Formats: sequence, C-alpha cells, structure tokens
Amino acid sequence: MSIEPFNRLVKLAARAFYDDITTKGDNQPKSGRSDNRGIAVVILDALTRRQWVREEDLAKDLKLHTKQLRRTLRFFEEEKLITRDHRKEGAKGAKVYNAAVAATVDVLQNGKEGDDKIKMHTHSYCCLDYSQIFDVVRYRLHRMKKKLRDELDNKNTVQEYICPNCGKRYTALDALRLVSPEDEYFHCESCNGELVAESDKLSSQGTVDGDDKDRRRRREKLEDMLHRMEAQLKPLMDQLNRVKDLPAPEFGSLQAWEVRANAVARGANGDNANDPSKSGQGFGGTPMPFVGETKVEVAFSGLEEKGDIKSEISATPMKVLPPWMIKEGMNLTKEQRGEVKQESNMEGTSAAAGSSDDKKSIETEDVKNIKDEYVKAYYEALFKRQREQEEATKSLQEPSTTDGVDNTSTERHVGMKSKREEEDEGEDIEWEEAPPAGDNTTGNFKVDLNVLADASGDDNDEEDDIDWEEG
Amino acid sequence: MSLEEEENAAELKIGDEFLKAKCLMNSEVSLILEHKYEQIQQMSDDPSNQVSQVFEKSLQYVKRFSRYKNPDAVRQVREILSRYQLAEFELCVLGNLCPETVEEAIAMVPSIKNRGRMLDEEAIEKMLNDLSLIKKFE
Amino acid sequence: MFFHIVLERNMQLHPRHFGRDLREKLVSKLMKDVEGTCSGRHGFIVAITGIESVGKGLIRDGTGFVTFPVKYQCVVFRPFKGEILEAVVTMVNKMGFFAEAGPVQIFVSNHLIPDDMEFQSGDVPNYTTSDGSVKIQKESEVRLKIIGTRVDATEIFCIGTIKDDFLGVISDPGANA
Repeated sequence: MSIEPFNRLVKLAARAFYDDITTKGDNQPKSGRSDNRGIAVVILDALTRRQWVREEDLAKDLKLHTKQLRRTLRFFEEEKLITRDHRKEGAKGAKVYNAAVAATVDVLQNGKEGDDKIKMHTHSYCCLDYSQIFDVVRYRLHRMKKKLRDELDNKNTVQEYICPNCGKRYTALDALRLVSPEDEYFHCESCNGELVAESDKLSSQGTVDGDDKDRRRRREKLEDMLHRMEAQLKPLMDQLNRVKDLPAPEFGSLQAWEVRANAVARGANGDNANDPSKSGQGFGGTPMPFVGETKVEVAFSGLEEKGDIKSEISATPMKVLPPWMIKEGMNLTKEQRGEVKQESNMEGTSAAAGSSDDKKSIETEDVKNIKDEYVKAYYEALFKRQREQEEATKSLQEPSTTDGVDNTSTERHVGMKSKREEEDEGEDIEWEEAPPAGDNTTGNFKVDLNVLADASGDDNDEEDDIDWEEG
Repeated sequence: MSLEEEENAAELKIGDEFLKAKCLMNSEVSLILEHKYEQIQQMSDDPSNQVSQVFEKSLQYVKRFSRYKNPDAVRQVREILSRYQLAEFELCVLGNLCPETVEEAIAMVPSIKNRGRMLDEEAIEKMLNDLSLIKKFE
Repeated sequence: MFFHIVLERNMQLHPRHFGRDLREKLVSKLMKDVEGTCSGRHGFIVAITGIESVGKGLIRDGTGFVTFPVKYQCVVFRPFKGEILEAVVTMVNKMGFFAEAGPVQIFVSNHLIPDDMEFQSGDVPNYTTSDGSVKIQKESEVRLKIIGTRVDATEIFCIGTIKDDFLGVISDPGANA
C-alpha cells in the first residue's frame, strides 16, 4: 500500500488530459516561444513528489513565475485535482510549515526554505487530492465513452430544448408536456416561452446536410475515435483498476498535515531509522494515517530480510507512523510506567531473560504504549487464528502447541496490564507459531520495536545477540 | 468500466426477465385480444365500456399492424422462424416487420449478425423467402 | 414489443365475497385492478389471459380481509430502447411529430426526421420531401426506432428516430386517397 500507484495515475491522467493545457489567456497570441503547453504536466508531476507545498516554493523549484503557476493551479483546482489553502502568516506559521516539510518531503528539494523572508503575508498552499482525482478521472472517462457510444448508437442524441426567456431546459422526452394547442411550437412550462432546439454538439460538427455519405463518414469517424480512445487510454484505465481498491492517500487539511508531520518528525528524531528512509524513499512522501496499519501487519507477517524490513519500516516512522501513535504512546507511558518506560523495555530485552521471548514482551509493551485499539484487535484476531491453526495441526505439533493454546488466553490480556512473565510465555509460543518463524522474523520484530520505542544502535546489537540465542 | 448495462434492444439487452419471457408477434396479440374481446362482448352489451384504454389502443394497433391474419399462417410463421436459433425477441421483430432483404433484416434486428450463431446471409435469405411464401398462400 | 408473462399480485378480498364464486370474484377484481395499468418495469398490462395459481389466503389482523397471492398470465406491451416498430402518426408540428404504437406514445423530433423532409404548415401539417414523393402527416404509418424511453411508475413515453436505413413512412393516407 503506497502512494506510488496513485502517483502513476496522476501522471497518466496529466499526460492524457492536460498535456495541451496552456495557461495563457485566450487573447494572448500563442507564439512558439511563449507557448507553455506541457507545463501542466510538469506541475502535476512535481506535485506527486510533494505533499502540501507552498506555492511560491513550488514556483521556485520549477523555475516558474508564481503568477503563471497560480493560473495553472487555479485551473487544477477547478478541475478538482488539487486542494488549495490560503492563509495569512508570519514567521511562526512559516516555520511550522517548514518543519513539516522537512519532516516529509525530501529535504534536498526544499533545502532553502528557511531563507525565505517572512512578514505577515498571505501564502497559498496546494496539495493533490488523490481520492478526488480518482473520481474525476473515472467520471471523465465514463462521460467520454458514453458520449461517443450514444452518438454511435442513436446517430443522434436526445434533442434538447431551452427556453430563451427563463433558461429552463427540456429534452425531447418532455415533448408530451410541451405541446401547445395553439401553435406548432413547444412552450416552456414555467413561463410559456417558445422553446428553441439546441443544436446537438458532436453531430453538428462538420457538414450539416445529412446525406448518406456524410452520415457514414461521421459514423466511421466516431467509431475510429472510440477505438483510438480505448487504445490510447488503456494504461490509464488499467491504472484506475489497479488503485480501485486501495485507500487513496489522504493528507488532510494543511493545518492537520503540519501538526501531524511535525509530530512525526519529533518522534522520529531520536530514531536513527530516520536516515535510511530519506535515501530509500526518495521524494515519494508516503501518506501517514493508513500505512500505520500496514506497519503493524508488516511486523507480524514476518518479512524475509532484516535489511529489507529496516528500510521499509524506517521509511514509515518518519512519514508513515502517525503522530497520534507517538503522542498517545508517550502519554500512556507517563501514566502507566513513567517516562523511562521505553528504555526499560529495551533493558528488559537484554536483562529479563536470555531467551527470545523478551522481544515479545517488549513488543507487547509497545502495544500497551500505543494502546491502539486496532492493533489490539489485530493481535487478538491473529492469535485466534493461530490457535485455530494450532488445533488443526495439533497432531503434528509438539506439546508446546497446547501450551500455546493455554498461553494465548493469557496473552489476550496483554493489551491490559499483565505481568511480563505471563506475556513472555504466551508469546513465546506465538512466536514459534508465526509462519515464517526464524531469526529473520525476530529481526523483524526488533525493527518494529525500534520504530515504536526509542531504539538506538546499541539496542540493535543487543537484540541481535538475542536473535542468535534463539536460533 | 461497465457501470449500468444500458437497455438496447439492438444488442438484445432487454433485461433477463424479458429475454427469457415469451414474446408475441402483433399477429398473435391480435388473435388473443380479439378472442378476449369477443368473450367480453358475449357477457356484456357494451364491451367498449368493459375494456381499458390500453386494451383498446393495443387491439387497434395489432389489427392494423398484423402481417398475417389467418391463425394457421401465424402459427406457421412462428414455426418457421423457430428453426433459426432466434431469440424470442428477434423472432417477433422479424415476424412483425417482415423485412424483404437480408440487409433490411439485419438493420431491423442487428443482433442476429453478432451473436455468433452462424446465421449467414444465405440462411437469413432462406428465412425471409419462407416468410414471404406464407404471406403469399395465406 | 408484446410479451406474454406471468405476474403475481396479492389480492385482498372482503369476506362477504367468500362462497362458491370466490375464484371468479378474485379474477374479475384482478382484471379491474391491473388491466390497463402501466409499470416502468413490466410496461403496460394489456390483458389478463389466464390464472396460473391462487395461493392460500391470509386473514388480515383486525379487518377480516383475506389476502390471496394470485399468479396470472397476461399480455404486456413494453417498449425498449433500440427497438424498431411501426406506429401511427397522431400529430405533426414544427418540432416534429407524435406517433402511437398501441398504448405508448412516441415523439420524433424534427432533427431525427431525414433532412430532405421539410415541415409544411397548413390544415394538415406535414413533413414532405422536396419532390413531394414522401409525406408524413396525421394517420401516416411509420417505421421508427426508439432511441429513448422515459419510464416512471405509471407512464412510459418514448422518443424515436426515422433517420436511419429502412426507417420512415410505410404508407401515407394522402397517397391512397
């Protein structure tokens, strides 16, 4: 689950529908030199590499005039591709934004942001609205196809009528209500004005006289158009299908995004996992709220390579890990165990026992820290399933399996406060049951730990040791 | 992207319910309605009072646009058309409109061409000939 | 197109009708209730041709009425988009013409009339080709294609075209006169 498929959608749509958009006013001559067609595509592409961006910064990055950029952005806003936000702000507001940018977008890109001189100015920000883009593109394709199909099927579409007096519109399907006994025209229901037929759009293009040849030619043209449309837009349609069931990236409002991004940055600061993410992820800002869930899944499904996991997860803490996690986790820590709790976890890992179980305990405590309902629910579901699996394969498995069953039940209290030893046992079995179990999985968990707790390099080493012990 | 399947009789998209239902040619409807009208006549002095406007308009219509009046001929038409793997709807359109050429038949019932039923022009031609024969000997 | 289909309806009957002719009472009430009605789904119900089954009656609480589920065969007329049929012209005006195919009304707007036909006003408004060989006026029989239907709970209205191959006038009353 990532933003990439949606970015690809944006890029395809940009090339399909916006590559000949010019931001020039119609009265200005489009001389070759000032012809800026294609700029719309460039801007959309740039937006796929950012989240919320201040429009001046974007202009600077793209070496565009702000006015020119704004004109295009206004157009995109009308096209419902982007959301914009305008606000008056002084230095402070800008700082909040800059910090947020630093936390999300590639710093290389926005390195000079701090230099901006800021007074109380109105600044405009913009951001792609992915879920709406999905709808807009889909609707556009649907309309295009329908229009051509209708033209083909009916030769002509349903005639429309308009009242020149009050502007009310009718179609031929209303004919029965519009006839008048007095004359041979249709009359408006509300003002009795004489309706005029609207010349149909596509079919009136070209020749008006409808002799056979013309009609046939027009039909061929339409068919050709339809075929070409289907062929040329196929990648776009495929991409639509691909992202159909994915949740669209959601950045929220500018404010919410800043708060979140900054919180994540704060949370990620102490985490050395921060660095690899930048190189690994490039500009692709991964959206925050939903990948949080993914992360949990990743931790459990057990990925293959430690390194892989690391990069994947390390990408998440900075961009993906929702701030609410960190914040809430911290609060809870204070309430429940005091501030040192996370560290104590790590110590626990090394000290508590010489077995792999410790990792488990740490993990569960993390859950506690997070107190995230979803995670708990997920754990429970997972444990339940595993228990079922255990039961199913009971004959094949060791007596430990039955232990597992017993322990799982205690395990389920883990979300609440329970003693660590219990958890250890419970999870020990869990651990063994985990499908791809092995060193790597352990590593996986460990990395997850790093993300949630303030893990440092030292901890990693310790955990590695434990891994080995387990193996 | 297939949103709602749009109704289109030319492609035989008339909904499952009607696709499976028995279709009636105008000639057949005429026989049914006239029979019913006679029954009502026997029971009541003023039958036109007993039937709905829909009934009356339909009766007028099918009497006017029935190609075959003789009940035996009507039966034969259906019998002949039934040999050609036609959908009920297609069969009745052909029976109602009695196209004279293959080209006309395809224009009236475009779906007979594109359903992969091996209904080549020769078969359609034969079908139309048979139909016109019935008309001749009615 | 006309269809012969089976429909079902719950008939409520007052206990005073219970007796030897209960079934007849049910059927005559059914005919009175449904014949001539129109529903968007099934079209116009032209005539009931037979009773398939009468289910067990259910006594309604409080009223004493009994509900019988009745399955009946009937002839319906249901126009479809894309269908080609013949119709009688009922009115001609500058905007096009209206025609009737059985219970359904069809409007053909002037832009779906071949371009070589011109509107002529007068006592008998009509559309005529420049050479006068083809004329559409009241009572003309035309073959048309339905290109749109407006279906609501109790009415179906269609729009059609005669601007295609093998469509148009099949007989005009003026020519025969």
